[in-house]
Amino acid sequence: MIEANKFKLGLFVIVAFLLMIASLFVFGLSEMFKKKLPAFSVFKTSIQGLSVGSPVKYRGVPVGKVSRIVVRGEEELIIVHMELEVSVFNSKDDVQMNIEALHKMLEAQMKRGLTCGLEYVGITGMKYVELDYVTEDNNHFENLPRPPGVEGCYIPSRQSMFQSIVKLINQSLNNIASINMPEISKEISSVLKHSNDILSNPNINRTIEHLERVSNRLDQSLESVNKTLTPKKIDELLNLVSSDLRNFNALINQVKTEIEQAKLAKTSEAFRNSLGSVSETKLAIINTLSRLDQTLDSITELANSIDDDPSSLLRGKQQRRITDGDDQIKSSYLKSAENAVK
Amino acid sequence: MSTTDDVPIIDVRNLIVGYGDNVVLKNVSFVVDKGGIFAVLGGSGCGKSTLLKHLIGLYRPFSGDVLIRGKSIVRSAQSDKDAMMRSFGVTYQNGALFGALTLLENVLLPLEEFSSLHHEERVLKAKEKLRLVELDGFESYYPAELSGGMRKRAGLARAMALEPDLLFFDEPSAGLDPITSAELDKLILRLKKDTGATFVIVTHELDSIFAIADRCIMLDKQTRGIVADGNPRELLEKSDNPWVKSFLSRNNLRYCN
Amino acid sequence: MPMPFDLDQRIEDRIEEVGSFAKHIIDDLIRMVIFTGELSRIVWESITHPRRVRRRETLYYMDMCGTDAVPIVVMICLLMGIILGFQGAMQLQKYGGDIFIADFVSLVIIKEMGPLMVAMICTGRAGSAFAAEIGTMKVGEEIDALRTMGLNPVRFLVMPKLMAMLLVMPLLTVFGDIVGIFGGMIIAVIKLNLPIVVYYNRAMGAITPLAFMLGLFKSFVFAFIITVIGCRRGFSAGNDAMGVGRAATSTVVSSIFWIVIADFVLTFFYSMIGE
Repeated sequence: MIEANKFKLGLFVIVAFLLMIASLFVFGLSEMFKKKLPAFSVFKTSIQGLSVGSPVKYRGVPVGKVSRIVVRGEEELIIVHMELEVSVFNSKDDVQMNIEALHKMLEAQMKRGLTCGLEYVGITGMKYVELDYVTEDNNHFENLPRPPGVEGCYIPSRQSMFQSIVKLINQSLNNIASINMPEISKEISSVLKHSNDILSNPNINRTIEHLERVSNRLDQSLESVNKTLTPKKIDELLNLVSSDLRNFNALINQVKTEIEQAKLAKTSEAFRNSLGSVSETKLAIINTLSRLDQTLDSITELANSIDDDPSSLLRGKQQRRITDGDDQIKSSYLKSAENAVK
Repeated sequence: MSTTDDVPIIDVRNLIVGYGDNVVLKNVSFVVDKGGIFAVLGGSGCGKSTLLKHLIGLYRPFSGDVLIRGKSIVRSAQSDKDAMMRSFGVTYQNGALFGALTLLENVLLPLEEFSSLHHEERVLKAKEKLRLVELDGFESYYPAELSGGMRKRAGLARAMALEPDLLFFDEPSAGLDPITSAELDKLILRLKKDTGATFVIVTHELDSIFAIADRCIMLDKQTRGIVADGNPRELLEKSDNPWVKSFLSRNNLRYCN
Repeated sequence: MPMPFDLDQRIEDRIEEVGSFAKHIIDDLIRMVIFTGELSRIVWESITHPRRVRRRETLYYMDMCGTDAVPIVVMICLLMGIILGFQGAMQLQKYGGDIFIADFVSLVIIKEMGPLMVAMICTGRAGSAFAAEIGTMKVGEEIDALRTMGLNPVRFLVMPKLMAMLLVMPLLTVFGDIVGIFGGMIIAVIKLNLPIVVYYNRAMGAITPLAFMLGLFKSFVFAFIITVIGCRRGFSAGNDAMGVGRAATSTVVSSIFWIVIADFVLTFFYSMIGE
């Protein structure tokens, strides 16, 4: 009655013990028997988010764990000790490395810029140590000297991308903070005051009124110019002028014949005078015509610019804010938006 | 241990016992000599069983002393007490056998714990004790499979396993029919003759007392003490205490409510 | 004769009640400490004289409290893992932290739920059985019989139970832990469509051998609490069937209470060593 079922009990105990040992191994007891290369790095900045047990990764591949974190307050140093699993690394000929070979390899890679930085694991704020190379982009490598008295393979630290972003933001913030805001606002307010004064000046109003009137007139004159200066009319005008000239020639011929017939000196003198005035008139007409052409051009230009930026009449010409490149981006964006809508 | 013949096997001196604030027995003193059957008699609730449990050292008295073979069981250290307890056997009302063990295992238990014998010898000895109480053939039975009388006898066998010269017996006839009870009395008498041990029996059964007791003390609920001491038959004839007389002559209804 | 509504008297009575209740608890605690002291002596004796431990009873209780409890432990812990997985999945899915279900379930099971659930099962199964058994033996004067045979009831009755429980409960917890993590995996695979390997790797990464062993140590402590309380309640049971019943009930209640307290203390200490 008080006899144990020995088979059942034995089975239970054996299975449980095996499971326990197996679990211990699976949960990481086996790590105790793995060969590890002790390494360490030194940080002068905060390592917030890194703790003992945090993973060490070589370009994302887990290669070890943080084993110890030591603070050296006098030197403002934080020494992060790591254990790198030797079995992860293979040599060139795909043979597992031993500790010495790994050490040598790391030393060689460090000359090529291998450093360790802190990266975020996820949204939790936890960090891991990332072994990677210093490149052009993330060249924030501050070469801290190897601290004396620490054993192991020294891998220098670099700032993480995040840290450098933070640094940049901090710099910008500092710059912003160094702007003398009160001074600027004082100046702005005085400028505003002055402009207010100017604006409240009745002369200005009158000037603006004048300007308006001028612009209205300009419009009108532009219109009338437009009306008057159609090519047809110009043709007509030219025709008229040429017919006048023809008539004039006929007149001259007639006058010649008459002079030849009469041979009057007075007449000849008067004719010479009138001829001069006629050629003057001709020049004046040509001048007028070219000036008219110029005026037409500049009026067209003015009309165009007023069309683009009507306020320029009041404020003068503004610098364009949007560049052509931006325009391209804008148009491509709009196009893609259109496509998306479709 | 100094067990000279002149030292009484039990010496009770001015024992005051009780539970909590209740005093059950006051200034009880008596001496039990070696050999013979000594009975403690009394009505229900007069403190017989309580007295027994003090005699065997289970309870601590308010004051007074119990000497077993001249040695105080009250004031001994636990290890001495254990040794003293091993020197006598106790049979409880219902046998107090261990339900998880067979009869043989029950009897073997004290032998396993305290004797230096070989296993085979122990088994032989246990079987002999069971034969002594007429339970041979029931070795592999569990206590639950036995009758009340058989359980008591098995308890007796277990109590005798270490061959003590002093045996306590709590209510041997309680819960038994008169015939079984009489058989048990016969067994006790035979054991007394065979082993020469001293028996201390607590009972209210008059038949048993007249049949087996060499000497008895009588406890009274009212006076909380001993009212009579002597051979039961002599007491019946000679006692001048009317209560004793009426109890012994079974005319005790008047006193027992 | 006191007034029927004597307020002072009634207040006095209440205060007395509270006082006597407190005294009762303190006395109980003191007795428990004494009992533990006695037990420690016996444990020491058993270590120095291993032959004095009753092997057959120990094996019997190992069988009864260990082997026979495996099915219920497996079932409860599997369900616990599934429940934790469900709850975790619902919360973690909101933040896209699906993968953390492995960490969550495995750590909670290993550190807390595994040992605790096994302790609850063993309290119900073994603790109450111990109390009832010893209580019944007390009623049948078997405890007295043991004592008058010069046998220490603590050594004779408690040691085998204690040894069995101390050996068996951590082993049960091993089963519970593994099955609980498996339960979480079921949910991770079915509800969150996580690949089994991902869950496995994540869970194995989250659990350290130390955390696992500390969890087992918890159940070791719980085993001690359950046995001590169960046996102690049995020894102090009233001398009748009702007393035995009460002893069994109060064993379960006090055991759960002290298990939770011990769990708190242990968790606190574990947090101090960073686990």
